[in-house]
Amino acid sequence: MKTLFTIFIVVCSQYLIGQTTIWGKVTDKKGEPLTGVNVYLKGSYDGGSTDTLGFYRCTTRLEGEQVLAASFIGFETLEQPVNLNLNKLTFDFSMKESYNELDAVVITAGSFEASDEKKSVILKPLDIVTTAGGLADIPSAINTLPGTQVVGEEGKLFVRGGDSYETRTFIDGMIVDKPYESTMPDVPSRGRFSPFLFKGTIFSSGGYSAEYGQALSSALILQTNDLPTESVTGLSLMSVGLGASHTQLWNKSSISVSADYLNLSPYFALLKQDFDWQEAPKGFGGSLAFRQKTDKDGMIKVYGQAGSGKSELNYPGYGDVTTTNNVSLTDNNTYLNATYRDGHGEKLISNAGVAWSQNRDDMDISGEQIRETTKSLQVRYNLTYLLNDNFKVKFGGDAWTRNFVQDYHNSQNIINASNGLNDLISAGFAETEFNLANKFAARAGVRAEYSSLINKMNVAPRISLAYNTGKKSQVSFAYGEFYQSPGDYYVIFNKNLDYEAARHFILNYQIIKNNRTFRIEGYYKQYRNLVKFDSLYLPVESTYNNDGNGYARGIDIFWRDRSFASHDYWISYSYIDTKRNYKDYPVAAMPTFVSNHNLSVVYKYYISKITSQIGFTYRFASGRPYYNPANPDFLSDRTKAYNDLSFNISYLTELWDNFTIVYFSVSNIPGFDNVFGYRYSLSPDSNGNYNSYAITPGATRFVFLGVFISLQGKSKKEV
Amino acid sequence: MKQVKMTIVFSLILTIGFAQSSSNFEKTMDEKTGELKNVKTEQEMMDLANQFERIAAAEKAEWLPAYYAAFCYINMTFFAGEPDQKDALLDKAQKLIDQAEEIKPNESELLVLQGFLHQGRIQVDPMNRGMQYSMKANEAFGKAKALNPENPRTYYLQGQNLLHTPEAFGGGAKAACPLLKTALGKYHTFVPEKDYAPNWGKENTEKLVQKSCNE
Repeated sequence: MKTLFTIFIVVCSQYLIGQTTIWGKVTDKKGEPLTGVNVYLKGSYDGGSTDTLGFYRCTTRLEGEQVLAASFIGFETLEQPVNLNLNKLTFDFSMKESYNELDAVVITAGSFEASDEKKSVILKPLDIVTTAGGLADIPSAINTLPGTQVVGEEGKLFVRGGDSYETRTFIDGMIVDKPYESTMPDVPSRGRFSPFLFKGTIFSSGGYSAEYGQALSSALILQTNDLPTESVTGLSLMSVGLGASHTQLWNKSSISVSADYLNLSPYFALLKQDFDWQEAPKGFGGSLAFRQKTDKDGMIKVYGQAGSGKSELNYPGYGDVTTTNNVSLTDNNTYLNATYRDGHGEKLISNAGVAWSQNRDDMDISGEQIRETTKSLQVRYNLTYLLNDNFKVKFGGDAWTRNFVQDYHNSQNIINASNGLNDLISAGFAETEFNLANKFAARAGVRAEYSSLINKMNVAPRISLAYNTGKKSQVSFAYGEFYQSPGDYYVIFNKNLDYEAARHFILNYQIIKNNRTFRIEGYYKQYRNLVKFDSLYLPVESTYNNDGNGYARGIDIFWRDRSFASHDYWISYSYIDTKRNYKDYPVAAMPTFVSNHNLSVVYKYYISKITSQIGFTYRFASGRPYYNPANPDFLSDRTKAYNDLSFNISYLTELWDNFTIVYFSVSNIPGFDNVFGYRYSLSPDSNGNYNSYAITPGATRFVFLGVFISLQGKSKKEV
Repeated sequence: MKQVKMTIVFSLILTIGFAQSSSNFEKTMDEKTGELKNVKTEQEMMDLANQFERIAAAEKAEWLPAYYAAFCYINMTFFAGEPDQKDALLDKAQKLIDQAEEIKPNESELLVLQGFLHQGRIQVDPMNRGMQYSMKANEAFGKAKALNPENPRTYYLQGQNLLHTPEAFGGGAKAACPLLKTALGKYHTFVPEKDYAPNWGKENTEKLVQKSCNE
């Protein structure tokens, strides 16, 4: 009985007596107290939280050897063996900040990313649609980022001293041969693809991955949407046309179709244009998209679109600007892209794709007829191997075949010329990316290409490094060699041309903290082997060589503040110093598409009371060079500075119970008289003067009104 | 006789031992869920989150401690704080929900909490996240409803969200009122499985019904 009693006592004592208290202080590495840290004995309920001074107290009935742990969000968990039978039970902790995926160092030199998937990106896909002056056009919205130039008569992306052809667009990894709509001379073109097709956009102004080739200056990398989230029918009524679309969603697949019709004649009739339009731009287009999820990681995507456009304009003659040319353009374009992505186990991801496009431009310049047909087919396969979270290898290859034909008939049908080319560019790349303790990241790759047309090969190494200087800040560096095949218009006359080449060096510092982003980037770019020729106006007789060269250097600054609830703004500023000797330039000079200073301020404000978002975009660009034959100093004249203030408003409402957006935008509210450049007659008139005219926008302002209706009945409300 | 006595005492000890362990869990959970109702400050909420996390770590077969820890972390984002910090709290809550879901898959209450978490993400950056996370939240609520149509919290959170959604997006008091009324009706008949099982939201629903249905 006695033994029994003893046992009873021993067992019960554990519950009744023997309370032990542990206490101490928890600080970070700088010695600042941490509040709310969980300090506890592992495997038990016993523990405590630190107070505002960093002190904790933990009371326990446990005995003997135990493990005391301290854990806190954003810090690495610490463990400390303790013997509860000892007297001294004071333990202080000094905790180290942990780097999670969000804080991990990422390579940012040269690239701006818009995505929903990562939280710390600089832009969201929606930003592209809602930027005033952007008119839901991807290149126009990207044009508010640093490193780009205002070139109002082109509407294309000109990046860091590079000509527009040096920026390439990629959709799901595949190159887009004709990313812009064909337009008349000095009428800005729009991108061919709707921003609503893409879930992610990466704009790289240099130093991009070895995965992407045939681009000297810049890569615009677009990733298409996955499965849509709902079935919906959409209608759009615009001041410039009509459109309709339908998306049908099933469990694992979806089909979307759309059709649109564009006609600017009512708009031009209402608002006076400075251009002498004979036929306002008209066009129609359609698209079809298919998505099929094959398993957890597998996805098949097919996207196709086709469109046609027509316009006619009276325009000053090239040789003598006092004469008038009648120019008409008919453009037909078809684009098809199909990709298949799948995972093979945990470690392997494969991406396969095929892209096909065909474009035909028929141009008639006062009876001279030019037809240009381009066909492009690219097949691509990529394999990514993830060894672990910190190390991955990617390699792949693609074959890109192009056919370009230019037919020319002069007005009397005496000269009939047809020039063309067939090219097969085969490329392969390998790249490795690794991450050391979330502190240091590196990406090193090499790309090799062979072109059957010029019978030459190029090998392009690329390296990017990034180092975390703090939890939210980092320094990045990139170096790379970039090659691009000589332009179609030159290589059709001389097949012995070599690749044009550029070398990039980029140094970048970025800090993203609490919805504020600051970024500064310096770069130096060398051009070599640029194509040169004697005369722009005598293409057949001209001699062509690769003796051109140039450089560009500058600083790009970006600031964005999203820390206010309904306000958001960003400012980008770029300074560039560049000269190049290419095309028919007699000496190295700053090209006509460059302004030394470019500034954009984008502001967005959401007014919940009237469920509207308003936006303003201000753009400034210092004067651009233009060619004045009377001035012996080549390209030394400058236009006046460019200014624009655009406004837009999106009003969200309901129309017969259907979710509706009313969108209104107007460019150049103050009515600045912008001049993009001047064009001169090739020879002086009888008085010895060179006649000229100013290249200006087609109208002082562009006004757009659109109503976009989503027909989905009441289903949305029932959720 | 001695033998019998021994057996009785032993079994008594054993029972006390076992009872101690299981009732300690239940007792602690009762106590802590009670405290949860009276939380006033962010620090009290943090302290409770820590306590639930400790219990979750010790009781690997129970899903409710992780559930409540996640609940505390989500609620902490409604106190003032920097957006990055809020996202970090929600990341933590997500891990706890995932942990609880492994123990108890297809649990209506966990899906409600998942929807609640998505709503928390919206509140960090409404302009950019509104659409995407509303859809995610609605998907979670849909599943929660399918698993248990009688769970009042599904209707309560959806109603609350509608009330704060502009009318143009199909929100507003008019749209929210029927949902909140449904929620209130379900609260009246809802009986939690245990004292410490999820049973929150009723008082707030009453307030919201008054607000949205009396306009």
